[in-house]
Amino acid sequence: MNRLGAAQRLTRGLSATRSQLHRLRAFSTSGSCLNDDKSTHFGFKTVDKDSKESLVGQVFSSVASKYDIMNDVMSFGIHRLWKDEFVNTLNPGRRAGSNEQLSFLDVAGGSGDIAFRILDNAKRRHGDVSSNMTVVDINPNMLAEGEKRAAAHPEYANDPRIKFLVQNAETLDQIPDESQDLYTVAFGIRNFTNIPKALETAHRVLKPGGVFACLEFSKVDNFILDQVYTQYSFNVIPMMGQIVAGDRDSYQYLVESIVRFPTQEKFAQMIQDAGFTLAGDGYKNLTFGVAAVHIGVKL
Amino acid sequence: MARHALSKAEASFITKLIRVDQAGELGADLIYRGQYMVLSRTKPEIEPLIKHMWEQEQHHRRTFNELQQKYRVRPSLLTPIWKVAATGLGCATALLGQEGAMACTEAVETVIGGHYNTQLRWLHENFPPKEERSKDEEITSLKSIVKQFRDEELEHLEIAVENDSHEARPYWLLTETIKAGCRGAIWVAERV
Amino acid sequence: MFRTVRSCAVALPTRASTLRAYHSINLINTKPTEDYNPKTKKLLDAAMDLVPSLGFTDQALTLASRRLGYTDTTPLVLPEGPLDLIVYHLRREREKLAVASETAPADPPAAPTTPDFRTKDQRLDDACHELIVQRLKGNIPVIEHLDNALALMVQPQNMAESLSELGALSDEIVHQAGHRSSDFDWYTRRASISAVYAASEVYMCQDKSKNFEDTWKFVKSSLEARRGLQEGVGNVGQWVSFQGIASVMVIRSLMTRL
Repeated sequence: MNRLGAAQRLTRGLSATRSQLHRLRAFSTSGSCLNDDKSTHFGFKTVDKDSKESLVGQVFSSVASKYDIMNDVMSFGIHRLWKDEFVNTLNPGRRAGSNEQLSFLDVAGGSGDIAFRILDNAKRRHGDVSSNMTVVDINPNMLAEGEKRAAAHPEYANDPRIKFLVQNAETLDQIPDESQDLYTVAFGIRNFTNIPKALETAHRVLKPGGVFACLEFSKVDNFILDQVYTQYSFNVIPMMGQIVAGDRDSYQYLVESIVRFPTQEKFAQMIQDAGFTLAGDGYKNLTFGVAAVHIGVKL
Repeated sequence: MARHALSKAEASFITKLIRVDQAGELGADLIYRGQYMVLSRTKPEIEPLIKHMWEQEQHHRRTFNELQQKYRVRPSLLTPIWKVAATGLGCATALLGQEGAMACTEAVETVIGGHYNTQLRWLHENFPPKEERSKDEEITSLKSIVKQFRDEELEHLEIAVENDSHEARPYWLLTETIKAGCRGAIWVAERV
Repeated sequence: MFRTVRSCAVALPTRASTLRAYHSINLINTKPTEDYNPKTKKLLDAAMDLVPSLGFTDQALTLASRRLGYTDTTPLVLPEGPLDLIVYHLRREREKLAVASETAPADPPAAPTTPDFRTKDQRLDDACHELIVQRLKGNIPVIEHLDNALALMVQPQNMAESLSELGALSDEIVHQAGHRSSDFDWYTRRASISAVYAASEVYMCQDKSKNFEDTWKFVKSSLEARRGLQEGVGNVGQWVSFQGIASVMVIRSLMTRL
């Protein structure tokens, strides 16, 4: 990635004016805003489709070890609450009266945040200790981070129920059709090259009646808050990324990828287009729309 | 007759249309009634004229009442307030004499004529003649009602001007206040 | 299927509008269950079959979902869970009222027995009584769990939805009873029917009488009490306008003397 001078980077950040952002959001009507078949977006840059994967890979390899700190910086630690609320809403777990275990799939969840919360919920609220969990991520470094945490976990160390696989969310070639009860993706989907394809794959691997659930940054619904949040995102976050993790560009990418992501309604429409039935409006805002939970059911 | 699905926005607009027009005609009916009650004593010469305009408004009010009941639209919540305000306005302006009453009529009919015009335009834009459902009897009847009432309100406007509405003192203050009040009432009646 | 004629003292039919007028454009929604996605509706119907035994609960939804060949996570399609089930029950029952009026046959010619001395208000009240009872009978299959449902409905975050359904129900009842109004009493009539219905539903939850006869009597006496109130309000209105006219006359007579 091109390393710019500090002053130029600062100017670049400040020049992300409101009109620019709105123009860009107007373009992000599909998850992958394509000018032609070959290129896609990488934050605000346009890159070759083939190279997006590796560019994203480089971002996450670089942030893997400091992932939690990065999230805390970007969201003032609220990401933990969001994840708690996400899993709370889903309330996963086999209900009484059945012997069949459930299968949970957490995609792009290398660090295991959501996976452990799901298993905790199943155990605490439903007494379910038999359902299994598959954590997939395209990035082996992130996955390794997750495996490390599982091994260090008091309850889930060496638990045969949990599997870690390196998988591309757009194909999930090792996940059989109609095999999963719940598909979760938290703060991962905005990095996918081809979001509609990932949604179709989600539809494929879910059982009839299975649930697709996505937690992701989204559009703030309050105008003033939106301005504050935008200024914070573009001016503060990359700088703190530089200070905390020594990598400004990765955080610049991450912030830009948030702006590029479709609005709540548009994303709900995409989920519906993939064949899911939306739950109510299809989404629930968290913290005024800074993050949103989208739920679709394969009915 | 086929049953047509209206989009939420269209159903909402037509509901508001019926509600506000019903409230408007109720107001117009009572304004003329107030004017008639006063002017038939103080200036019997124009009694037939006011009576004619009043009767047309009564017909308008009856029509919208029927529409409101037919389509089960909720009438305006502030109906008692519109009644009191309209009667008061009619009596008060008539006490200012013929010119005052005519100025009030001019102001009210200007606003209402424009209001009907806007509604008619919306109806034609959203139910253009080419579309299948625009040929439906209920839609064409709605359009023709709004059109006819608009024309009659503008006719009242002309009558008011012919009968010395401009001679009223204070002309500008009176008409502008009444127009502002009407616009405010229309805005409220659409929603509440 | 003929509507049974009421007790022999009354000859005329109780419901004023029998065959619903056919309109080609609908401004209000009298068939709310048609708005549901068909698969979601199937899930809700299956869950409703389980409500008599399991109540308006997550268990009912889960079991229904399993029976339809779906999985434990499927009830997530209903964001509010049990509340969505309750609202579905309310809408389904209200729709039954609407459909019943559409399919009711035209009134048979009145048998000439004793003439009907009821006032218009009494006739409307009797029609409302019949409709309220008809709607309350829809609660009988789920009566054991109705108090839990009501408790859920009155929670602050659910009040808006509950009141909206209550309003729609009272609008349907008042309209079918034959009350037509373009005035403020459109609101007072509906408010009064809403109050009667809500009170009757609560009463019904603890009614142990045979065939809920005490509840039907409660409905009747509530309606009569409210009619008295309404007439009272009407009388006050008449008194006020009489005083107003009298004052104007007095002032006029004073002025002419001067």
